[in-house]
This record gives sequence, structure tokens and C-alpha cells, in this order.
Amino acid sequence: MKFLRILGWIAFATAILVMARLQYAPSLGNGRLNIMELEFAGSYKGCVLLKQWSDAQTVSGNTLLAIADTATRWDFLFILGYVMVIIAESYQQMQKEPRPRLNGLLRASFAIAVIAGLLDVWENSTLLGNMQPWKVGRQFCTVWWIAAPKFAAAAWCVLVWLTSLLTANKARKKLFPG
Amino acid sequence: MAAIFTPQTASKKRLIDDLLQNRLTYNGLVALRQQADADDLSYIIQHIYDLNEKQVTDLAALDRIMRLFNDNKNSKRNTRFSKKIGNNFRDAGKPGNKIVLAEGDSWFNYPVILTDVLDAVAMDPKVALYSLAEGGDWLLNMLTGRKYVEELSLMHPDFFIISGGGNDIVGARRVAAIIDPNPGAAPLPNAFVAHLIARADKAEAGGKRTIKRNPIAFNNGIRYLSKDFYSLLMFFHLQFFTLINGILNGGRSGSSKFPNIKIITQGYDYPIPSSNKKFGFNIGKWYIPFIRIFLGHGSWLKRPMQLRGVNDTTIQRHIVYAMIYLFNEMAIDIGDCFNTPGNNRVFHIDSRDSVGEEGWTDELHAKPEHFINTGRVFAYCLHHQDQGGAPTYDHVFEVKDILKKLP
Repeated sequence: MKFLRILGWIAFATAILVMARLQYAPSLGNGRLNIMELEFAGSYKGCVLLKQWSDAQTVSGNTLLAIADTATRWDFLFILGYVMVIIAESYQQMQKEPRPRLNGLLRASFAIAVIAGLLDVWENSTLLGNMQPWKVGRQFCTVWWIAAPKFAAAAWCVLVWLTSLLTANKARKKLFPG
Repeated sequence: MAAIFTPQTASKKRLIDDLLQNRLTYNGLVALRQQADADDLSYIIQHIYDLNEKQVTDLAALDRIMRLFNDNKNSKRNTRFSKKIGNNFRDAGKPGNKIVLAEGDSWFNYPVILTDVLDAVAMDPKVALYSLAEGGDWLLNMLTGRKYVEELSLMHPDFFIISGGGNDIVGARRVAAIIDPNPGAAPLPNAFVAHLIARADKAEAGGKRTIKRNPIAFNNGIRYLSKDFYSLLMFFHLQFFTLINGILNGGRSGSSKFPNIKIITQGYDYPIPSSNKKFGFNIGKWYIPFIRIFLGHGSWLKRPMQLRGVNDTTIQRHIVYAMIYLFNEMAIDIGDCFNTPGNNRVFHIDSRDSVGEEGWTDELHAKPEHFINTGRVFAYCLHHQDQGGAPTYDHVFEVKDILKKLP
């Protein structure tokens, strides 16, 4: 688990750094890369966004669409990272959580993190499909209905972990009065 | 070199033969436990299992992956132990703080998925716990490995706690070898079992005990236990006696290096033989089908009994009931060998009837909430054993009883 934790944090941090760098790639035109906006876009807006990105050039000579494609591929490493981090940190906290219900919720986070990760893989694969040149500006397959439960699942895991982190100490003193 | 036979060794040999043939008297067992040494214990187990020493060792050995997971969990626990000690945990000004050395099996170390009993004990802010426990470990390994001896000498803990014996019964499909699928109307006579039942009856009649024997399940189940089960039960008694006598009294030397240490043993609740995978849609219980599919569920109890033609689920449950009932009574009885009025040094945590029908992750392991409950009772025992009236009775802390007293 220690190995998983370290590996997870390395993958998580590396992917964040790379994606942040790509996200802020300076554009020559008025296009701006916002993948979150794309994740929650409807069919029409998705088409418009991808068309804008395919037309916008960056200082490095690539289109924003090419950078979005690269960032989406790096997101697979991010997925691996956050799933491992959620599992490892929930496990770590589980060892300190004496309340059966929260202890159980932390354990459930193992499965919920995997589900969030799988949804994210599905979402990314769909987005990469949308970025195919022959589809750009013509057709966009929405992913908000995948992204929403994914974010909810990941947020739930963080919420459970935070709740336990902030309150477990007091609970331990109460349940183990000595 | 030829063995030297003296009247004493001849008598010991006769006692061992009587144990193996299920004709040992209770007084014989008392005499044998004073004389038995490591070689004798090795000889006995080889004959109970019909294997040579190497085969027994191989049978009881943990596989590499299991050992890796066990070590990982212990490493994490023992790092926390070191941190506590580094913060002056053991200090004359903090008499309520307890140092605990733990040896045991998967009830004490269930890698990764489940929160086990020791995880819960270690949550007590006033406990620093050092663990040698390994999931899948046999009591036989714990005693022959003697890892606890070095740690006892180094840390001089306030408590030594142990959970062992379960894998010696259910490991490597041994259950098949210790039942008789064609029982008589009455159980095989055995003096030690008669002693245990008389003791249990007396405790029940005293009214303090909340765990009552289910006569239907017990009387039916005990008929299926073969002489090898009785030999194994007496062997457990010898093992626990040798272990505890060594710690409390320095074995045959008679002088202990640990004059103030106390010991807590642990029994198990009545598990349910099953091969049901428990598939369902409750994400909070995702680990149950996972564990049942990948980690041996069905292979410890149900399958070995089916191997001997015992297919009736009620009979299977009654057999396990009788085994666990007697195992706990054996462990409780051990306390009587060392405790004197006003000076109890050996305690037992009795988990029977605490898990319930729906409380099992798999055939052998309770759900985490029940392990946490048992752990809290351990912690209660660590802090309250020296206060009059704290146990359920004598030196026994019944989990289902003590939980009523806890917040």
C-alpha cells in the first residue's frame, strides 16, 4: 500500500503539472483551452468549441485542438494517479477511523474511486473520438452525463476522507475512553 | 545415539500416546503439560496430522504474497508504535498508557481490505501496539517461530495478546480430517471435554455468563467430532499452557523476566460454513463478493465437510458450533491454570454470539464493524482488567456483554 501511495502521488502530481502547462499554452488568437467547459458542453456548444480550438494557433505552432488532444491523453495518467491516491489515502484514514459507518464509507471509497476512474476513461475516450478531424465542427458526442457522476463520485470520496480526517481524533477519544 | 529412557520419559510417552488415542484423563493432561517440551509438541502434532515434521512445517507455512501483505500492515502499525514511544509514551507520569505486544492470525492482521481487531486496538490513544500477527498463521508457527520471545525481552510490554488456533483447525482443509461423518448417538468420551463442559455449566449456573450454550447445536455437532479433534483440542491446551507458562513463570526455570506482564487470549465467534458469493448491489459491501471469490471462501469449512459427505447445512453449522464452543472453553480454562484470587494475569476475550448471522465477510472473518467491536473490548480489558467487577465474570470479557458498557 505504501508503494501504491507513492506511485499514485507521483502519477497524480506529474499529470497535473503537465496538464496545467498544456492548459495555459499561449494562443495567438482569441481561443482559450478549457477542457472542463468541453466536458459539460451540449452538442452544439461542443461543436463550436472544438472548431474554435482547431482554428486557434499557439505560439509553438500547434492548434489548441492538438494540445487538447495531448492533454486528454495525459489525463489517463491523472486518472491512474487519483484513483490510486484516493484508495491509498482512504485506506490510511480507515486505520484511524473507529466509527463503523465512516470506516465503511472509507472502504466503499475504494470501489467508488475505481468507478470514477472508469467513467473518466470512458469520458476521455469519447472526447478523443470527438477530436477526430473529420468530426470537428460537424458532430459532437456529449459527455456531461459521464462527467457529472464522475465528479460526484470523486467529490464524495474526498468529502468522506475529509470528514473522517477532521473528526476521527475526537471519535477515538470518545470510543476509547481508556 | 540411543534415546535414554527414564521412568519419567516412559510415563510422558504413555501420556502422549493416551492423548493421541483419546484416552487421556484430565489428571494425565495436567501431568503432561508440566512435562511436555517443544520436541513433544512437535511429535504430537505430527501424529495428529499423520505427517512428518517437514510436511507439517510446509503445511503451516505462509505463501510469499500473503507474507508480503502481512509485513506491509505490520510495518505501518509498528511505525506508529515507534512514533508513540518516541513521544515518551512510556512515562511514569502516564500510568494509563499501555504497551501491547500482539501475536496472531487474520483476526489480528487482515491485510488491506478489512479493519481487523488490532487496527481497532491501535486506535486507542492510550495504547502503543507492536504487532507480529500474520493473516493465515498457525498457532504452531507462532510457537515454533518464537518471534514474540525477542520482542518481549526488548520491550517488556504491559500486555501480550494472542489470537491463534483457527488456522490449525481450518487450514489446508484439516476440518475434513477431524470430523467423523458417521457418528454414533453419543459423542466420543473425552475427559478434558467433560471437564470443560462441567466448568461451563458451573459458570452458566452462576448467572454471570451471558453466553449460553445452545444444547441442540452443541449436542448434535459434538457427535461428529473425531478423536483427532479432541487430540487437537488437548494439543491447543498444551500449546497455550507452554506459551503462557513460559512468559509468566519462565517455563521450567520458574523465574520470569516479566513479573508484571498480563496476557489476553481470544476465541472466535461461530462461523457459518458457506460457499455463497453474496453478489449484490450494495457498494458499501463491495468487498464481500470480492473476498469470497478470491480469498478462499468455502474452502475452509464447507468444502472439507462436503469432502467427507457432510452436506446438510444445519449439521455443518452444528459441527462448527461445537468446535468453536470447545475452543473458547479451552482458552477460558487456561486462565484458571495461572490466575489466583485477586491476582488475575490471564484474560480471555469471548467473541461468541457477537457477530451474528449477517455479520460475516466470509466463512472465517467478521465484517469490519464486528472486528472494531471486538477491538474495543480488548481496549476495555487492557484498561479495566485490574478493577473489580469489570469482566463479565472471572477473567472473561464477553464481547456482547462489555459492548453494552461502552459509549
